[in-house]
Formats: sequence, structure tokens, C-alpha cells
Amino acid sequence: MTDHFLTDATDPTDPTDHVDLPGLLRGELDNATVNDTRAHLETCAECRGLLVEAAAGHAMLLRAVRSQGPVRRAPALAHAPAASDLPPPPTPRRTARHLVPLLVAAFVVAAALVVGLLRPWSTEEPAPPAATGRSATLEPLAGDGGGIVSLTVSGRATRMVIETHDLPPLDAGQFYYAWLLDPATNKMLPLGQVGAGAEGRSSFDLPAGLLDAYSAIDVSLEDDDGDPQHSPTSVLRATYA
Amino acid sequence: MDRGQSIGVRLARRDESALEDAYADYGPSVLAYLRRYVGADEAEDVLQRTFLDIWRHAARYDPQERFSGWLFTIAHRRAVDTLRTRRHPVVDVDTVRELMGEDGRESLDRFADAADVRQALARLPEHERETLRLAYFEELTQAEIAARLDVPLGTVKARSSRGLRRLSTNMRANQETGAQ
Repeated sequence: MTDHFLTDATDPTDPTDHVDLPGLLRGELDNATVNDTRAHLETCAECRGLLVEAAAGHAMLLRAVRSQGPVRRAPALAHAPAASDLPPPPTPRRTARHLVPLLVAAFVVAAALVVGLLRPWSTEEPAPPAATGRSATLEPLAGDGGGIVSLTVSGRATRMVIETHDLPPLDAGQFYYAWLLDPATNKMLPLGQVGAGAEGRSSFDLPAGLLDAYSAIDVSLEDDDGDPQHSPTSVLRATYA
Repeated sequence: MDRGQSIGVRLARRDESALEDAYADYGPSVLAYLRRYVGADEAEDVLQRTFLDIWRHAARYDPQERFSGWLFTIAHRRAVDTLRTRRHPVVDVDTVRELMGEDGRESLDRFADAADVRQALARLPEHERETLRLAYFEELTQAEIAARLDVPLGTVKARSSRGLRRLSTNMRANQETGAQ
């Protein structure tokens, strides 16, 4: 093999490591060295083969980093809990159904503990003077209940406030959930939980333009079953556009 | 059958060591995924529930399916549960949309891919693994890695090059054996 000029990458134990492919792929080489490397690759089939392999590894690692972020920003990654820290495996007779009430209770307690800690900006903020508002009435689709949806446009964001009343009582593990809806296509976008039961008030900050893609608000009755899709039961609906 | 699928099969046989392997191989990646959507305060709790679920429902794992994909689907469901039951005065719609909307599946697949890469990285020779970890996950240059490890720059380049090639070869082999 001749003319493998990047000798500083050479390892005597591995004669194939003669071109700085990691430096090339990660943008660590100056322009002149990139051009020299390119000229070499154009004439060296062996190095082109190595480049293909290295590029595949580089692409996978780069995508993994972009998905997960650098380790230093997520310290817990370096200290995965030991298997012994896991809850004990369930006994054969114990089923998920028995744990649902416990998990729901745990969710509620955990959520109550972190309210106000995770989103310090979520406290009520005074609306800017230029804000404009409108509202729509939530009508029951079946049974009791009603409500009102208020939209306040301020700059590039819209705050949506959903207030509900007289909704049927919830069973354990159930909750009401709000969606944006385009009735023409049935396209839906999940917003979040509405209220704590029959009556409630929830606020959502919506990016600019999002409301334009939909025209209605739908409130559904959901079960805590892990299924992120809309349940078959809609209880309230309002058209805002 | 790749390592992940093997773990899934062992879980289905109620092999507790498989749960330990799953936790060691995929726990950090699942935790990173959960931290993104439910926040650092709740992520570890949801992680525990996710692995409790894979133990409880291991019999449902299809060995023809990518194990990381199945695992992250369960983690996704537990994250959705957590967001749905969270009671904030104002909900961050962008976060909910990314997790539950049209982008949710793509995000899940991306994290499953990343978990497979991290698993393959963990199986490289130690000196190659450490060099690539510093280069990609700590974003150090090769010169900085050489200084950090107190080895010649040429050695870092050689380890990086061989590590990248070995990683891609192993990932391709995993994909081929996983498809069989």
C-alpha cells in the first residue's frame, strides 16, 4: 500500500488505520487536509471501503446522540439503577387490574407534589394590553354537562381556557381529556386533561397557527389504559371557527 | 436472533437475569427518553413502572419483533399515562403533541434506534468504547480525548476509526440476525 499520507493516524498494530476518517467525518480537519484526504480516497479503493464502514458507524452514533443528548446533560444515564432496585416481580396471581387503583393514586400524589416545581412559568400571568379574546360554548353530545372555551390571542401565542360544569361523575381510573378536532377530516390533536372531575378549569398555551388547522374542541371520557388514542366517548364539543 | 431479542425471549421464560440484562442494556436509554417527556423528577418512577410492565407482560413479546421497539412502546404508554394524569395550571401543548401526536411514533423509533446503538457501543473493546463515548456523547475532539486519556493523538484516531467500523459491522450483523 502506498501514499497513505496521514501517517499520524497510523497504528503499528493495524496497518489499515492510515487515514483520519473520524476526523473527516466529525469536521475536525482543516480544508487543505480535507481536500488531500478526498484526493487520496479517489484513488484508494481500500480507504473508500473503510470510509463506508466508518460513515455508517458515525451516522448511527450521531443520531443516537441527537436523540438522547450528551451524557453530561443527563447524569442519571451513567448510573442505571441496579436490577435489585426494581420492584419485586409480581406473584403469578397478581394482575395489572389490581394495581391500577394504586398506580392512579401514585400518579395523583406525584403530580400534586410536582405542580409548580416543573413549570414555574405556569402561574397566572397578566395578559398584555394588546391581547384579544373570543369564546365558544361547549355543548353536551350525550347526557349532562357543558362548559365554555375562551381563547386569548397575545402576540404569537394563544391561551385556551376550558371550563366545564355538571359532567357525570368519574369512575376510578377515568378522566376527561381535551382535543383539537377538525370535523371535516376527524384529525385530532391531544391537548391535556380537563378538570379534576365534574367541574374544572384547565389552560393550554398553543403555538401560533395551530388553531388554524382545526376548528373545534372535543372533550372525551378516557380510561387510564395507556392507549393514547381518543376513546369512543365524546362528552362535550364546541366550534370556535 | 440478536441480543435484544434474546433478552425478550428469556424474559418470557421468567428468567430474572434477563430483567437485569434489559435494565443494564436499555435502562439509561429509556431513562433519557422519559426525562425528555415527563421530566427528571418523574422519569425514574416511570422507568420503574416500565420495567415492571415488561416483566409482567413478557409473554406478549414477539421474538420476531425488535426488542427495543417493544420496550419503548411500553415506555411511551407509561409516559402518556403520566402526562395525562398530570395536573398543571397550564399544559405544554408542544410536549404533549410530540409524545402523543403524529410525531410520537417517529420519536419512539428514534429512541429505540439510539438504544440499540448504545447497546452495541457497550460491547466494543473498552478502549474503543471509551474513545467513541468521549467523542460523541461528550463531544470532545480527538485532540481533547488524547489529552483526557493521556495517549498519543494517533492512538485516538486509530481507536476511533476501528471503533466506528466495528460498531457499524456489529449493528449490521444484529440487523441481519434479528431479521432471521
